[in-house]
Amino acid sequence: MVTVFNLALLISFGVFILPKKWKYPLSIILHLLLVASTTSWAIEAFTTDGVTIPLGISTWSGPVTMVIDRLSAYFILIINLICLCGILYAGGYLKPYMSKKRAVFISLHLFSFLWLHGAILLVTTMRDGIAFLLAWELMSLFSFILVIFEGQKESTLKTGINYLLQMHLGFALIMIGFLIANNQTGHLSFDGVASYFSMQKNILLFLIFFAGFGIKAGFIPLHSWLPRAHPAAPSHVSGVMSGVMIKMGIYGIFRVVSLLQDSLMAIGIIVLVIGIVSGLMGVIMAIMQHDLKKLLAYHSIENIGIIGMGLGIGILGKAVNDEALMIMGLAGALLHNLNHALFKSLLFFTAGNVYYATHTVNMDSLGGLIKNMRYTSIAFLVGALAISGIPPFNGFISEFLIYSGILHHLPLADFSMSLVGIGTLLGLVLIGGLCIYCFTKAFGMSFLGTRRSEITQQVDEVPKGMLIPAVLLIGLILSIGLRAPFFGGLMVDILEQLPGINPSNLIREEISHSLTMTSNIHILLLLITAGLVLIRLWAQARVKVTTGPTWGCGYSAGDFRHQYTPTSYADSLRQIVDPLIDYQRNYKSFGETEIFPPPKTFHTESKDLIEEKTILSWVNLLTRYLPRAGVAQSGLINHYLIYPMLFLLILGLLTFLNVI
Amino acid sequence: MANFLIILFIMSLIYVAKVEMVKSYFSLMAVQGIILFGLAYVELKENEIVQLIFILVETLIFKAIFVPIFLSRITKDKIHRHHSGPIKGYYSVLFSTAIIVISFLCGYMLHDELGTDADLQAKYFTAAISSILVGLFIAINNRDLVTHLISYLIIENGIFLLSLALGSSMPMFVNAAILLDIFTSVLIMGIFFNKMKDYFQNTDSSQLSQLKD
Amino acid sequence: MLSLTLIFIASIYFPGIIVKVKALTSGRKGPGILQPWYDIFRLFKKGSVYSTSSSFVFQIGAVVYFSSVLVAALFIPFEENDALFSFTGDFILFAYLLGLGRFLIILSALDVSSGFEGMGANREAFYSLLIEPAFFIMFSALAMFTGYSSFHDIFANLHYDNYFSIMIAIIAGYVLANITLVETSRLPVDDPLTHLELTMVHEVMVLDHSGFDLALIKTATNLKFVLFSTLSANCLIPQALALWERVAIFLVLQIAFAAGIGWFESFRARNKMAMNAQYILSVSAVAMVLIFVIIIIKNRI
Repeated sequence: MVTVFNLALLISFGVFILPKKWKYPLSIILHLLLVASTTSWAIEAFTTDGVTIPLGISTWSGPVTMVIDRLSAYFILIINLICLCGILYAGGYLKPYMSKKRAVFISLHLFSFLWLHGAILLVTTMRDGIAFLLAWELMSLFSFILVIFEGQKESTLKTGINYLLQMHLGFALIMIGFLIANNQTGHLSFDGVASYFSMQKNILLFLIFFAGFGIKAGFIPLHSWLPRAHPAAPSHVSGVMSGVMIKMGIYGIFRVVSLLQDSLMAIGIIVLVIGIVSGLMGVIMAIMQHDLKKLLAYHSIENIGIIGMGLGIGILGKAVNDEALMIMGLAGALLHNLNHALFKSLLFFTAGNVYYATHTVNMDSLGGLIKNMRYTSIAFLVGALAISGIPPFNGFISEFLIYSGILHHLPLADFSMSLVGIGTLLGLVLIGGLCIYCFTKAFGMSFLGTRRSEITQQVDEVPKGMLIPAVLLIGLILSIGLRAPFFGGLMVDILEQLPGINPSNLIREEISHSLTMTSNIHILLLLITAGLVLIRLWAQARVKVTTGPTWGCGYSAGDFRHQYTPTSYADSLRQIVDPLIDYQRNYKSFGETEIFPPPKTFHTESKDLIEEKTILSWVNLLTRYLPRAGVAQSGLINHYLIYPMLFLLILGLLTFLNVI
Repeated sequence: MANFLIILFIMSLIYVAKVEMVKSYFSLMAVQGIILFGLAYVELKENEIVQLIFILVETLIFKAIFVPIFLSRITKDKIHRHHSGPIKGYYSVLFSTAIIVISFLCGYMLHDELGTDADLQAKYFTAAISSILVGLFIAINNRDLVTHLISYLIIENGIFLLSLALGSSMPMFVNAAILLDIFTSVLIMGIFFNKMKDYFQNTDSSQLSQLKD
Repeated sequence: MLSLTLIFIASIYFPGIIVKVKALTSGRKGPGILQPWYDIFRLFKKGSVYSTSSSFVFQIGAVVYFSSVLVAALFIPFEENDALFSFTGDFILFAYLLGLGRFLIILSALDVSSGFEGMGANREAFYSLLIEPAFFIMFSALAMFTGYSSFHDIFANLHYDNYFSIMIAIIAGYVLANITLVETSRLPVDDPLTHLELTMVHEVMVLDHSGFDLALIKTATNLKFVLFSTLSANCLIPQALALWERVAIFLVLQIAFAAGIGWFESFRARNKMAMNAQYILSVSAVAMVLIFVIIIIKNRI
């Protein structure tokens, strides 16, 4: 199996030499090989205690071995699923580009996609520090190449470079973390981190790792690359990045958290607070967006916040020795990984469908797509319901686990933990409500109603091949919603293998019981709905059912301009959250004597205040003061040579005076 | 014998600072090549004859003969001016003399440190450091591209002297590095010179300041 | 099943009593108690007109709204008699099921490409966003107080034996009453009898539904009313009495609630639209007070 894995990665170089027609089929085959080899290992890891596989190559710190325990196996399965859906989707999405782009760019793109898949798989399985860092770097580099697929646009290129810089910042932080552990214990690996945690205070090293992994995950305030990179990348890449690559940050945090020994209370509170802030700010900023893909990117931040919340209360559960809180919190966070991967990639793929059909993702000019793009709309509706945590889909299950954890703990909590519990509960409820607000806007404005622009071009449903991944993902979303106890038990099984966590049978019973009841209710809900639809069909068969124009209060010249726009829909919320987003409206109002006014424009904009305060203010400061150092750059080589000569003379002088 | 050759070398450096015509740079290069040949012959006691012969040949043929002829061929029918630096004739000699005095001071300090160790000879350090600094000074002083190349070659000569100073054998590595430097510089010089001539109609390096960001 | 039967019985006269009381306070004789149900039955038998700009989302919106409320009704217990479904955290599922219905009805409002429905949808989403925390905080507070987290267990353990628990009952009652008014879109948040579309919230959302769909929506609204008032009644009925006494008190309480709402609606004007958000947020704030009271009671502080 190792040879299959290695072979798949090596044959990928062949993508460059094949003719255009065969590049994509080769990619699919290689992806399937990767999926097959790693899935067999993952299943083996679930049934046995863990799998260790030498990879056959070695770095300078020793041979590279893949160590797959249940946590890694779980992530491997998620990665395989989403990457497979991604490459299946890419087949249809890339077709218009095949004739427009040069062959070498297409093959570079497909090559990077395959190697990204391989690199992410490697990240989840490497325990040795050097190998882990190498795999992480490969992941960042190949995702950069994928993001700048439309690099002929300057904005995409700038976004890509911004992304690359931030990823390297995260890489540097993780490397510093490993080096600190190595300095103390002599091992440059996760084992080294574990022994460091048993010897020194945990919190500083944990914060370094949290910052490094958090940049990848997208926690606020380290999130500023996310809302730029996801819209700039093509949709299949956004789906994979948002569904899988962000989770590698979460995976890293999980690994480090599983090794923690002390100061759990402080760490738990920090993670929880960052999670709550990410969740709330993410969804508030999402509501104000006009661009559909940017909206989805901000929602990724929100869901990562929810995972952070689950993680935070799990750590707090361990700190106060409440088993229910710990297990349910961590299980909720783990399950939300899978759920978010499923529905977010589904949403990105359907957004890609919208772009494919209409060449715009600006909601101000969409609308009415449901008439011609029926399957895409159903997929987006399922995704929207799932991400808002609405029964009977999977988003509810993971949020329910987190809620349950808090509810189990509340009767026994002391004062601070009560506040924490209530605060988290409040955060989750607000996030849920805001999410409903946002996704009714996203779905309603893009798909329902009438087209909000003068352009009346024909919009067609995408080719069937691009809908296959959506069907697969919807099937899984429904199955998690309807067979929840299986997944809940799976999460507890995964947690069992982590050090320091021993779930008792009582907690398994409890989780199983609640989730079984939930699933049964979901099934009942679907049955009752179906039954009611049938009853209505029967009742309406005997009466007259007609269609007519929408009731317009007697106004007979209604057209698309009477509908609510995305901006107006979000306006109610804007009145409350204005200080957080610095909303701006640019328009010229009517003058007093303007009787026949000319056409006017109206422009609204919301800003990301966190990014402004933390990053952009520093950048502006530097940009203002650094050009003054430009006097040293005269353009003449003679001046540039004076500098080293002076340096040599000064060195000589200092040596002469015995200073150095 | 070695002392005599070193003194000749340093005098050639002073002369370099003084010249007016670019053409005379080439003959100076040839002279320096021959001096280096002599120094290598006198100082190096290699175990392998082949390496020794290689070094000797290389200094003589490349530095003394090939490079000057190549450069004069390139710049044959081009207009040559006097060197165009802000520091003219008299003062440039003063500067180069000052540089040589400084390098003698450094050599003196080293002599104190090293004692009379047979393998490390401080006198080469003076020549080497002065050569490097004079080369830099020429580059600073001039705008013409050919002059910059000459300064580069002088710096390389200084490095050659340094490696001679460190012992009685010259490792192949150092020699190969110096040869590579010379090769690259001459090659690029050849290409660059022609291109710049076509584009700018003269070879003033201040034209390149338009490339500034 | 007892709770379901009681809910069913209460829903028969609940809307009628509100209308009757409002009529009596304004000096009219008013329609009969069962008149709202006669109207709904008539609607069930009527045909429908669907807008040309709507799609399958509009077709299933009302159905999902009704089924979600129906399934949510299965959670409500009656004292210590079990509801049909009861497990830890079931009030979360209750709230999110109502959220499902709301989601689909908002989407069907956006489907008809009219500014009126869009306005109603926008406001409905916003107000429910603000009132959800009140519901959750209140029930978490009760969970903290009783030590259990399902409807059934909470109500089974809610004893009013001392001074503090009566205070809790009052605050919880106030919060629950406000939640009811917001969720079912009554005064002072939204006037169900107003004819001015620009001031409507819920009514304008369902403006384009007709026939079977409209009947489903009206039934679901009435059902929601009864669900919340059953929750309030559960808080108030003491457990020490026999079963038939409690059933009787329950039915009387429902009449009292309906009459109270009718009375309140007759004498209270509706909030200024811009003040609505503030009003709803203040309900959540009162719920936070409830939490702190319970923390003090439990000697945590």
